[in-house]
This record gives sequence, C-alpha cells and structure tokens, in this order.
Amino acid sequence: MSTKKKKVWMNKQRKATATAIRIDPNIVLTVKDLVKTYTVGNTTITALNKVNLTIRKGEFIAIVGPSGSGKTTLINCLGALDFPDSGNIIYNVDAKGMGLDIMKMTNKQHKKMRLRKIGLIFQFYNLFPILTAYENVELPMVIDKKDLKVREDRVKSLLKRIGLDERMEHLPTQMSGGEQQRVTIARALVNEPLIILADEPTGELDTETTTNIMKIFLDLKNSGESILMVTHNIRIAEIADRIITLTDGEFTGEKKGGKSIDDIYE
Amino acid sequence: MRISKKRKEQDIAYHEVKDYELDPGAMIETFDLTKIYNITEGIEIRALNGVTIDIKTGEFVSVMGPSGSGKTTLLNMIGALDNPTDGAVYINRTNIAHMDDKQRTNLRLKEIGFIFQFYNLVPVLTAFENVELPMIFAGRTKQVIEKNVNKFLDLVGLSDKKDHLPSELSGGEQQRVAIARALSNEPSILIADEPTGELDTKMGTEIVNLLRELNLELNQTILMVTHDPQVGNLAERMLKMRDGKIIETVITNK
Repeated sequence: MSTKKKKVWMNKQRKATATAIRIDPNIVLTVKDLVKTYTVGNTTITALNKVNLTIRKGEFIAIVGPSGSGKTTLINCLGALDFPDSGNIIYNVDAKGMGLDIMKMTNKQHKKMRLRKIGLIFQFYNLFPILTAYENVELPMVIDKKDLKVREDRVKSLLKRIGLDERMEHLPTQMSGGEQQRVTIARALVNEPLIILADEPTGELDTETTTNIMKIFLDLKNSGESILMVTHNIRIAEIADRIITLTDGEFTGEKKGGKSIDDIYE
Repeated sequence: MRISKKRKEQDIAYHEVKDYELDPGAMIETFDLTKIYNITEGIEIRALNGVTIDIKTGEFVSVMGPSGSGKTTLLNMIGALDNPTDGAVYINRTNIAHMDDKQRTNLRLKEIGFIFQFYNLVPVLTAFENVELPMIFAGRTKQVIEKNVNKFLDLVGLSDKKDHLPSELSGGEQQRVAIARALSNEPSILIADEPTGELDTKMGTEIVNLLRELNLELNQTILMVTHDPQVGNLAERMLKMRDGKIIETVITNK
C-alpha cells in the first residue's frame, strides 16, 4: 500500500469502531470477499482476490499453494499484521457469538487481537535470540502486563505440554529448529487465543521433525483448538480436516483431509 | 575449581577455568577460544580453533571470512549465547565462565546489544514495543523505558514509525529498529552478525554508516561479522578468519 493510501486507511481506521454483530457461536472466523492488492511501480498485483472462508470451532484447515499464491498475505491479513483493501474478517471474539470485524477496528483493538485472540506461528520461528525458551514463551504475557504468578503457571504448563520443560533455560542458539518451532507454538498458545494461524510452520524442518510438529498440531486440534495452516507441503496438509487450494490469490479447490500422520507418506 | 551442577547437566566442557593476564584497556578479550561440535559419534567439527583477540573500549572491529569459518560461533561465544569447549571470554575484565545463569542473562540484556542478520523482531509487536523488550526484561522503570525508546528510535531516524509493525517496514527500517533495540539498555558492546546480509547495497551502506556514527559519536564498542569486504572495510580493524582461526589482522586506518 502506498504511504498516501495507507494514511487514508489509517484515518478511516481511527474513526471507525467495530460494532458487534451476532454470529453463529460455533464459528471462529468468517472471511468475506477479502481483497488485497500491492502496487509496485506502475503495476498493481492482486495478492488476494475475493477470498471467502469460514472456520468452525475446533477445525483444522490447511491452505496449500505455490509460493506467490497469496498464502502469507492471507495469514498476515487474518493476523492483523497487514491491511486488506476490502472485505470482512469477522472473529468470534468472546467465543460465544459476539462477532467483531477487524477491518473496522481501531489500532488499539488490533493490538489486543494480536496479543490475546490470535496465536501466530512463523516459518523462521522469530524467537528473540537473547531470551531463554521460558522468556520467549512468556513474552506476549509480559507485554500484556499479566500477573507474574499467572505467567509462571501458564508458561510452565505449556512448556511441559510441548515436551520442553527440561529446557526452559536454554537459548534458541542451543536448540534445534524443531525445538525452536515448539517454543513458538507454546508462545502462540500462551494467551489462550481463539485461533492458531501458522505460516509454513515446517518450511525449515526435515521430514522427521515435520512429523513431530504435525503431531503437536493434531494434538492441539484434538483438544479443541482451531487451526489455520498455510503450506506448500501438500503431504502434511492431508492431516487437516479440509484442504483448500490457493492459486493466484483465489481459492480454486477444496477437499476433505483427515488422514492419519502415518498414512501421509505412503 | 567450582563447576556448578547445572553446567555439568548442560554438558558444558569447562574442564578448568583458567585465569589469564588481562589488558587493562580491553573491552573484549578471548584466549585460546575453542568450540567443538560433535555431529555424530566420532565426527567432530572444530568451529573455533584457538582464537585469541583483544578489542579495546571504543573500537570498531569487523570479523570477515567465508561461511563456515567460525565467525558466528565466535560472536555467540562472546555474547554468551553459547559456551566454548575450551579457552576463555572476558567482557569488561570479567571471565564469563565465572558467571552463573543470572549474571549471564544480565550480561546479554544490559552489557551487550545484539543485532542479527534476519533482524529477529517480534512480528506481532510494533517498533516501539520491540525496542521496549530488553528494557522490560531488564526490569527498567516505565519512565526510563519510555525515554530510551523515544531517544533511540529518534537516533536511528524512525521516530515517525514507532507504531508500525515489522511487516509494514522495509528491511533497512527493520534493521534500524533492531539497532535501537540493541542500544535500548545502553550496553557497553554492540555485536552485529551480518547486519547487512539481507539488504541491498544502498541500505547496507546506510546501516554500516549508522554503526560508524554510533562508534565515532558515542564511543560505542562494536564487533561486527560480515562476509562482504566493502562492509568489513568500514571498521577500524578487520580480523580475517578461516577454518576457526584468525589468519590475518588488517588495520584500515578508518
């Protein structure tokens, strides 16, 4: 977005206040006609072209597509890290059917969404290298000014859940890629988000480590978490409930998944 | 000789902590620094093979060499991000090996500012919040945090973008935020690992010039790793590495 366009957008955002709408309490996220374009020189690139998507509570959705198909743009827009041109992104913010559109939120509301309602996982882990595993997981709660005792209980239980409770004092440089990605999963879960958004979570990992990370994703799904994962790895996508194909910014196909982790490499 | 139980558990091979004769003007000194990685049983890689360096307070030194020469390993040892197999690192005349975990955490937060090739900003936090981070973890007061964030974002020329997310900033701007974050606790040393590795020539030069300004105007001690000779040449002294050793020292007269 150009600086001018951005300013207009920001001003519009400042004036706007999202009004709550009633939605189906079993739906976590509804995306309607989402459009995102980029202008590079004189060329306008349509990264997302009228994307529609509904994610139900506890659903695990995989979006597959080659690089440049718009996968990361989609994650960034849904994660309030980037700003779409038009459309709606409605989150069930209280998990009871109170729908709020992030397109109509103020900057402050966006910040709250990122810290409390959305758990983001990135390809390159994005851990802060000078902080230990414990501190990296704790980070969103520190920024959110949560009580020390609350933080301690939550961080410890999450590190235990992902099997790194023995390594909480270790720095990212002392961990393998798979271990670092597990730390980011714990960090994404720390504020009990409505949904996990994962951008190529296994892009940097070997097959065995990929399988282990996907086992954690399945475990999260089975305990009721809602997950949206984008990947170019069509094999691992098969374990999701639904697999949606993204081509040149448009959804071009959908199929059922639900394969077991042992079946995907056959 | 005291080796804490925890260190033993972490399998850190400090066989003995020797004390060395120190240069009173040095900010960073290493002695016979060695790091061996055991890849599989029987196969080991000597990432560092007896590195001895002496960096004075206020000096700007670059470390150059091809990938795999041990540059990043050296930085990680000096920054207490990893532990050597043998030898010693002194920061401000204190042997890191004598420090406990808490003192090392303090060292990483307060004494050393880190700048990385991939910026390593937290994507869900704004520029302001990213710069705040080391100060929050160092337990600084709200007033100090606010003052220093504004001061250092201003210094790197980004005071008008403090509410922007990393995804809304260019690579060069993200690296500037990372520099402001590294400076936030006013550390004695800045350590930069390939700070221009992801940037085009123009942005890369801007970043190195910013580091030079910090060095000249604030007398900031800087240790920078790079594989780019033009970037390396902008430091006062260039250490060339190969196969885990310093093979040449070049004074650039900068």
